[in-house]
Amino acid sequence: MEGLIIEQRQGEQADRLFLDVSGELTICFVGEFREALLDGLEKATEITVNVEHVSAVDLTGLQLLCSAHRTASARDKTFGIVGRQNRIFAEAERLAGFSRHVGCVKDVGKTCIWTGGNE
Amino acid sequence: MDAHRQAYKEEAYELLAELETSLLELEEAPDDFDLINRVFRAMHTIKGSGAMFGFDDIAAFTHEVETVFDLVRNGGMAVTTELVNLTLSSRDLIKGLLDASDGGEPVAATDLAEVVARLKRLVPAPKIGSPLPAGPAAEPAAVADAGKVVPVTYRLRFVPVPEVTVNGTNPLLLLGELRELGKCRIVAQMANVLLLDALNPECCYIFWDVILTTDRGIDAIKDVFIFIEDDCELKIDVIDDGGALDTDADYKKLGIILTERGDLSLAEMDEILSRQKRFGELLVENNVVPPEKVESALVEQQHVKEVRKERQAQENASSIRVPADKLDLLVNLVGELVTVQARLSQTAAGKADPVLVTIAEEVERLTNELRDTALNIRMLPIGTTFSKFKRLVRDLSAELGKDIELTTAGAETELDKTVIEKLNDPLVHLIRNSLDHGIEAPEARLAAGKPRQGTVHLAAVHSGDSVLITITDDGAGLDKEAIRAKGIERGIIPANAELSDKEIFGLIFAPGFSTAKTVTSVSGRGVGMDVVKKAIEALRGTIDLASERGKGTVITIKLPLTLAIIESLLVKIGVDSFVIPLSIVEECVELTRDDLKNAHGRNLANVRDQIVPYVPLRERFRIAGETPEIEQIVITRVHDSRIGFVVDHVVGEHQTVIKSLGKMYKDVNGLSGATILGDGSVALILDIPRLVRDVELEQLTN
Repeated sequence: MEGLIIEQRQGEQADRLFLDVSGELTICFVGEFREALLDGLEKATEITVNVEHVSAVDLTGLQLLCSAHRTASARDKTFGIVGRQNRIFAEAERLAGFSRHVGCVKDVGKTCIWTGGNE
Repeated sequence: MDAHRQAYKEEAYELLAELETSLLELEEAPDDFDLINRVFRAMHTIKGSGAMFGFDDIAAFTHEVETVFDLVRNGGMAVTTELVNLTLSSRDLIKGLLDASDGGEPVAATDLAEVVARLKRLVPAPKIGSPLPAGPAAEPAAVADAGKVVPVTYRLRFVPVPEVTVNGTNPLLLLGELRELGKCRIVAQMANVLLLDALNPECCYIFWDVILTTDRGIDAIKDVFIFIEDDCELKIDVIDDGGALDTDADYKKLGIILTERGDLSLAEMDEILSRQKRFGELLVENNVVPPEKVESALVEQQHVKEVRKERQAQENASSIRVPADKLDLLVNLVGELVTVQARLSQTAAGKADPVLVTIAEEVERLTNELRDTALNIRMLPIGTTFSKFKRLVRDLSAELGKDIELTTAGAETELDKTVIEKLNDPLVHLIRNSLDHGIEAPEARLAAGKPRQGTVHLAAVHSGDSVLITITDDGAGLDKEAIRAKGIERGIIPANAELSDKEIFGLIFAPGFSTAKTVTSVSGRGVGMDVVKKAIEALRGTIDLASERGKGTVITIKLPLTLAIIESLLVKIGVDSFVIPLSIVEECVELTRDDLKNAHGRNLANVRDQIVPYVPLRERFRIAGETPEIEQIVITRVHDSRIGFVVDHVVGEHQTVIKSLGKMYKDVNGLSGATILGDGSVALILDIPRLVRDVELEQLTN
């Protein structure tokens, strides 16, 4: 098991934070990731998670990202994902039926992380 | 009404064929639910439409049989050989009733009553306290009348308990399994996902809406969730039943109707429409339904639309039913056209008018395409004939006390409808022979170290412009000595004749030849093989036989693809034209006066150091006049030997539209028909196998 590695990176602006995630974004490590997300949301107003180097992702991993987006919206902060073209990530997203045209009712800022690329 | 009755009958005959095939398959796989359903559906349709078109006797009788099969379908009764036997007899009786309505022999009411009584005896008495198991709660998938399973579209809502992931289930794998069942769209509903502070990240707060089109049935869907039945809520609805109940509810929208009538202009309609918002948008705006639910519903709408569109496309591409005589008429007309076209081409070539030549070439190209298409329409897969033989073998082997299996290959091979029809009787003869004389009794087979069950293999395959049909059995093979002795006894061959294996086997095709010691109801009356050979030759085909003592026999029938138009070689003797089917022509060589002198009166030519016997046709047909200085030998291959036919000139290849010679000439040997040439004159089609046989017989008797 390679585990989950989360690297925090400060953006150019002080309130912008990048979380580079690599390894397994799965049920074994989602607790850890949740802490990292909560920590990030405390520190910054704009958080971007990079999933480009994720080697495995399951439902709980996807769900956590969704929850993070909602939490950010509720706190008037911005949350986004980059690296969704990662084949493993894209496949899990497709299989789980996460891809969609419009965000959910809580997506007031129309920033849903799953829009675009619906089948 | 009569047209409807006729249509019903045609359908009923097809259903009876389907019923027979299904029953035979069912005997092999008595637990196959799909087959039981096919049998039931076939009977159900025969009954239902029978009653509708006034075939009350058929409807009443079929109802009784159907009732028994309904029991089988619901698991109240097992499929046994006895049941299959009785149902097959019922099928024959229904066919009898259908035939009777056409003036055939009436079916005795006692026969019907007996089968019904025997069927009823098969039905087990219901056990007290154990009600018959109910049928499946829902049909596995809609089964159309043709017995084909059609895909059904389901709407699933899958709501797992939050702990499902903690318990070790990966919902993604389940969704993956669903995707494998058919065309599938999955929308995750995330409304219940909590904020990070409250979220237990190891739990699952998501549920799914799935739209799935599958032909695997509802049980297959339930099976996917079988291991987490207690850990989830699952709701499955049918939203499209595969067209079984399609009453196309989609009619034009009001705006379209009004614009079509001219009561509303397109601009006005667009203007009005732009004022209104889409229903979904209104719902979301007014907070009636959350957007993700609207999206999920839209996905469903889209999915079903696509499925229906695909199905419609398939239905549009399906077939229409045309009476066979209309097709025959079409082929006849095309034949006439080919003849006229040949005349046009010939005339055009003579006139040297470039415009006319261009038109003639164009007509020739179109005619060729039309000919190929028209002939293609009449092509049928030979499989329909094959399936009939399964029943034949089943019944005959039981009668003969033998254990015989019929295997088939190449059922999809296509042949002209008329050829297939005329092929039926010869094939029945040959298969009967294999069963009766070829395959040994089970004890004899075991003693010879062979498997108890004998096999007859029926295969069809395309080979150039012909189709090869082989009947192979693993029986005792032919007894060469017995055939030879019989041949001498019957005076077919002289006592001292030296014959090759092939020639000996050829004897069994001679009229009045039979080596069977006993005459059974199946075969052995000595009328079989020569009739078979004649029938095959009437189809312009050839029949060959190879056999090895103790190992079995292979009979090969070679047939032309079509009977209507053939490629042939046009030749001339004096002013008369003849055509020879190109499929048997191997080459043409010259025959000079010197060659004739060197042959010393024997009809033998030396072709590349091989001796080829030939038949001088001018002499044979007693055509007067002088032979040219150099004649031509057209060398043909008949039954694996090369035989030449001497003619004056070889004109070239010719598209021959075959015309029959009519009753007046039915006793003329050596001619199988006639054709009309481009200049309007008639050319006779040579029946080469027949000519060869006649010459051989003459030589044997001299």
